[in-house]
Amino acid sequence: MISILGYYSTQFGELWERSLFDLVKESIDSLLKESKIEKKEIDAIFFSNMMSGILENNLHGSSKIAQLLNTHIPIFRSEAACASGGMAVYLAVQYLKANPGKTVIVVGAEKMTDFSPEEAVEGLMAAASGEEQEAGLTFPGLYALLAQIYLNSYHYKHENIGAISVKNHFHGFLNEKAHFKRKVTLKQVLSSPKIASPLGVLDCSPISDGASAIIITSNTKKIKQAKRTCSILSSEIASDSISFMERERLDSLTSTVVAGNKAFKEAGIKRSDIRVAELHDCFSIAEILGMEDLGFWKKGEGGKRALAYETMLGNSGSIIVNTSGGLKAAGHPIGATGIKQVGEIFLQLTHQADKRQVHDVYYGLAHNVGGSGGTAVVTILGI
Amino acid sequence: MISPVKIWRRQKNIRNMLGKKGVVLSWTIIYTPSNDFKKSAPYPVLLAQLDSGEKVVGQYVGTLYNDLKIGMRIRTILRKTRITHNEDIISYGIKFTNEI
Amino acid sequence: MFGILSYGYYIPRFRIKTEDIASVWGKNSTDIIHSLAVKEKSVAGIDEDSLTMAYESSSMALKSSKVKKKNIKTVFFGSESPPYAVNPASTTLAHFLGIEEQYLASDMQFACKAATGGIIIASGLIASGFTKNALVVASDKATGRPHDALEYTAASGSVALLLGKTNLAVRIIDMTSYSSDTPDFWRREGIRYPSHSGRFTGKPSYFHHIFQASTLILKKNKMKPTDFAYAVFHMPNGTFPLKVGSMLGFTERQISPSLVVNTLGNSYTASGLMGLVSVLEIAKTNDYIYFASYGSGAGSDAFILQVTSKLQKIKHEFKSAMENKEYINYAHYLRCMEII
Repeated sequence: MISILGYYSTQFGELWERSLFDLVKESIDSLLKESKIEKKEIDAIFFSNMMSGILENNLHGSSKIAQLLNTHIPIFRSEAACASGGMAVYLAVQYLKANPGKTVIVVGAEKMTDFSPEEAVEGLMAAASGEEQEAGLTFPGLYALLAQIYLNSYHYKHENIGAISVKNHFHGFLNEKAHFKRKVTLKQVLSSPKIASPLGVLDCSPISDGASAIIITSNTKKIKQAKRTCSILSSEIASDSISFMERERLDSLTSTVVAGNKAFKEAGIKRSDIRVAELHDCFSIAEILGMEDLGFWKKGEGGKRALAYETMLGNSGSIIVNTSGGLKAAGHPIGATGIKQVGEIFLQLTHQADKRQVHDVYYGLAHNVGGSGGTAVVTILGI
Repeated sequence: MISPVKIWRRQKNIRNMLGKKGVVLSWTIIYTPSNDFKKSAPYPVLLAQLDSGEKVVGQYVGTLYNDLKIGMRIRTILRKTRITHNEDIISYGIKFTNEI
Repeated sequence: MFGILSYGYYIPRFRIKTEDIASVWGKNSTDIIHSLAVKEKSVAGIDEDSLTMAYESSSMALKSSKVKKKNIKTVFFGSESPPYAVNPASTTLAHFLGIEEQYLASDMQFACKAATGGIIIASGLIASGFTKNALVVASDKATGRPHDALEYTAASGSVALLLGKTNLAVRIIDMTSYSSDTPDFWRREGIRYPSHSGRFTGKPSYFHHIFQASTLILKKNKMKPTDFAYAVFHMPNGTFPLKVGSMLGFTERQISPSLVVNTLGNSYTASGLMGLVSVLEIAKTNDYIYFASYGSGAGSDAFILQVTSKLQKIKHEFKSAMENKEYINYAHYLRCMEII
């Protein structure tokens, strides 16, 4: 059995006074304190970060963390663009399967606001292919191309995807750690300045700083002693072409489909068992594609269901999605996101989600995507 | 700065894609580009499928920029991709225009 | 024999009107249009340069000929606005056209006659057997200093000629070149905009060199202006060609079909050649055409050409290319030229 013992996130947003590793240190220190676990009990650390190499010329983060903690334990860094966090969780789970009785920290962090938007946009495009970069594309542009195909194929309008942002801001309003704690209306989303048509500012997740960390263990004694814990029933990862035009389908992310199918099979549960999920809404369209690709919604009906706000807190829907505010409202510090998602499900399953609490939750899912779908990680938790 | 060697390697592929016709599968207009593309913004980017089968992304520089449609016919041409006025080697690449 | 097998051209579609430039500087556009005889000029887009335009015109020239690429062992690129101060565009052009390995590439500069000098040089290479065919391309994205007179005329365009000994659509009967050291128009290394010596660019420069070259070649070949169907001269504006033609004895009727400068502006190395293309599109078999280029600094290359029956098979749609236009305003023009 592999279980989560604790979770901590820093505030997400523009954190001028804190550097990347200030955020890492804060998350690890706070996490250990709140979980009442000592540093010496940690056997390894998995560190997730995408852009410190490109933006700050800082790599070898594992060694930097060793310095901060004054330790010699093994520390691993993972990078899969925006799925770096999910990948770190997956790798930690594999490590624990191979090393029973151990306890690890998975920490992800990103520092993006020290740089101009153009530098951040360019850095993010490292997650796309050379051809996509030479075409002058940006990540909003890539997802806009996907959005156009989706809207055109299934006869939807901008409002059918914009509604996702409204929902996620409603949730973010309830999350103290969110980058944006304010609600938005559909009208505001549809009229927000265009970034890459049809996507406007309010269809796109922001550039944020932040760090998140969780403790995972395969130590049965610790699990028994823990006041609040939930188990990781499955963690599966799938890859796909980096160039989205080389993929089998342009209206679906196959990596999500493959990872999702593997995760549900491994966990031995049905889609309808999932009551709460954190989906990768880097752009409004991405959450809709995610719902369809994970099998919660049929292909093509996402636009309709999104506009009906079926997955919003307080609605009678069978699954509530992105109570953290998603990437859109909580913020998207790239390396931290995948871990924050797992952490939010942990909070939901252990009844620590305050005003965002969904009731009767036994199973939850986290869905983390890298780039335009080159990597997808699906993690299923249960209590 | 992109390595001139990288540009040199890429140029061989670019030659093979020039003067080809195809159809638009998707399009968007980019308003917030990265640095090297700032001077061209806002600009349309297309995903097109060439009649020879390959799928290609690139900027559109034809006359129908106010009326882009999925299914439109295009052809590939040679243009500068990055607009920079510095010491780097110039990056030439594929863009799209109207079929004729 | 030596001559042209096929030709290609490229005119970017943006145009800016003289009146839209004049109004920015508070000038009277009617006066300017009257003295320059230029109503509007072509402007290349921000992502176009002399190389991308040369690729377009060369592709057209190669498409209308069955010449094998391996027979083109000479590629000349003439421009005043090459992409690099040091780095040949001729090799980049050849690469994209699929001409490889055993060929001579050379970039040339001599103000507006950079390419026509290349024609004369190519004739020697072809006659000696160095190469069966030569590709000579003229291409410019000419910039004028804002608020200067040249701003109304400096334009963008490219013309490519495929030359050889056989299958000629146009025979080049004779060529001559007249040169001298004349400071009429120049640009120093590292300086963005060209400079000129005002009215000195007229009589001692443009007129003197074209007149001398023309007089020499006509005398040598015992030909008179009346022997020619058309006369084409380099076009810095719409009035100079008519004036120099008149000095030599050519009529307005022979010259005006080539005056593309009225609506395209002066595309520098491609200017005269664009006028030649315009005339080739309407010329008849056996027509004699007189062509003289002019390059500041200074020199003139003069050519006596004769159309063969093969020309009819390779004509294009130059007129509709001229009409394919989109007007832009001054701010957009400054963006295209990367002045802002």
